[in-house]
Amino acid sequence: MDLSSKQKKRSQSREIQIPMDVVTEVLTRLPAKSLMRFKCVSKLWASLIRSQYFTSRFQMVSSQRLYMSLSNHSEGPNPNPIILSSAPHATTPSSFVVNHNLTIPRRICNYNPQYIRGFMCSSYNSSIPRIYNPATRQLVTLPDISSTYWSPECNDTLYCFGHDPVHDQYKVICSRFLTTRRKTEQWVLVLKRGASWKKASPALVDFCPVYYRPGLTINGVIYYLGMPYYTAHVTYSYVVVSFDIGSEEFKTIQVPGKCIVENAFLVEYGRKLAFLDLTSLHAKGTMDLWVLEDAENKEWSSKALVLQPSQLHLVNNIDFTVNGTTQSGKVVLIPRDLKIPSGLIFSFYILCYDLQRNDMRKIDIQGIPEHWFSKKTRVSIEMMFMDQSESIVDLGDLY
Amino acid sequence: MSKKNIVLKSSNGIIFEVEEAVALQSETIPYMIEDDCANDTIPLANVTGDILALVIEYCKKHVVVADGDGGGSSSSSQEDLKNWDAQFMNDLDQSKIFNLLLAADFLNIKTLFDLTCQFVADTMIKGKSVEEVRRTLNIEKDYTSEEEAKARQENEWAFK
Repeated sequence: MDLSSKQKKRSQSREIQIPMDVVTEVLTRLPAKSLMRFKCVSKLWASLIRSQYFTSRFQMVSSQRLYMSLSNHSEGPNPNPIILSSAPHATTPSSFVVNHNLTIPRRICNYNPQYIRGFMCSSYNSSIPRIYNPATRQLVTLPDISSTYWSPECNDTLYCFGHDPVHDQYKVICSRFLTTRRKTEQWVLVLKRGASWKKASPALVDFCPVYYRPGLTINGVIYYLGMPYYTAHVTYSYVVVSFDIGSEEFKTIQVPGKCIVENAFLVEYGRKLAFLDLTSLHAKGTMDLWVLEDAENKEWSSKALVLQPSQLHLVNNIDFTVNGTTQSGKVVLIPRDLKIPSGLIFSFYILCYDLQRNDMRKIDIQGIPEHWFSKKTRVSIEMMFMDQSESIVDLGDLY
Repeated sequence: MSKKNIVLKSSNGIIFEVEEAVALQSETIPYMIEDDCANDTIPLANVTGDILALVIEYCKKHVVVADGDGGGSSSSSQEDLKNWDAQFMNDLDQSKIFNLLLAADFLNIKTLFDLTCQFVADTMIKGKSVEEVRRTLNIEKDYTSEEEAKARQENEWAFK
């Protein structure tokens, strides 16, 4: 009798069959790690989780965060970084805390990773970049470029990673100045199965890429800094190189003459490219902003940003560099020297500057190991603007 | 002005009379009213009485009451509603939760559907093993042992 009631109970619960479209809705609400595990539930689930429909649905519902990695270079030449994250959904993070859930190979996050829609792209010492998806922990090394004129010791290579929203394609561009031929080669790779590098032949003045300045992607266009090669050794005259990811068209735009590029950084301002010039920041509390109003006609507008008196102490006598722009249009400034004496203790912080509202905020970095707070410590910081949601797209399906 | 009531009938013939504003949180019911204007009772062939009672309890709690001043305001604060939702879901067993999920899908009540989906994801799926998920959702294993081992190996970190 006991047995039959048990059997009855089982058959009742078996009657509830959740249709696949409802199961799909439930699955989009799971974290990436659970989804990677549940690829093993069934073949149907595995193909669902890999499907384009599911991966794009997942991208819409997942949370947005800002990540940074800190490396202590007193620990050796290739230190293990500490990954920190801001609170999810915070448009202006107030603090960063150590995140133990995120694993990023050190050779990715120590070298200026670019983050696009869930993928990180990083190149160590001008070597061929690697693409990493922290949500699925997939790591892919891009193929080599077979150029006749490349020598292995040439380090002046810039790689930029971008996404074309129209065709939903990821592309990596490579720009390398060939010293011997006084010429720059441009290569483009579309991230897809069986991809290879294709040489681009832009019809524009030759320039060499400023390889130590990372590029920036806005609205399907990659921008990076270049220097016309014929002036490179005479006078510092810079151009912005733009690459339309969809049409693969290169253009150069002259940088405004008064902009001091050595102290100015490429930022995003209201979906437009801009230079934020920090020359007078620590002495006067002012910054110059140059906005590319019209890329077609190469027109820049300029304005001076004057820091509020109450916020001046944040920048007083400290040199900052710009690390990037968050999705909500805030610029992250990091001290050139991360050891900032405040009284007797050293503290770690960065600044978050809202260009539109002229509001500078200090962001504390919490959870740093005690021994880092010593005078000998040399800490470097890499911000990853991983605030455009994570992705579970299988790199094997793209590439 | 008297409030208009709507009569709903569950699959096992139980009748519920509710205010229109309560019923109209479902995006399916308005179509059924249009299609069936001659009859006052709306039959819900996919929803049993006990589940319909839960749906109505939820909708009554979440109804936005139009007050005398014209503007709409929720009957409870957002925080109260969140706590109420959590308690509401916690009191249900697995079979009720699944049936509620299906009812919310069928009746197209967006907030209830989101709530049940998230609850199922968080409490019944997220931290579970592959075998537990198969049992919970009655999924037949269609992998061979070799295929499953390979799939596990590819995503090994996610099992830790």
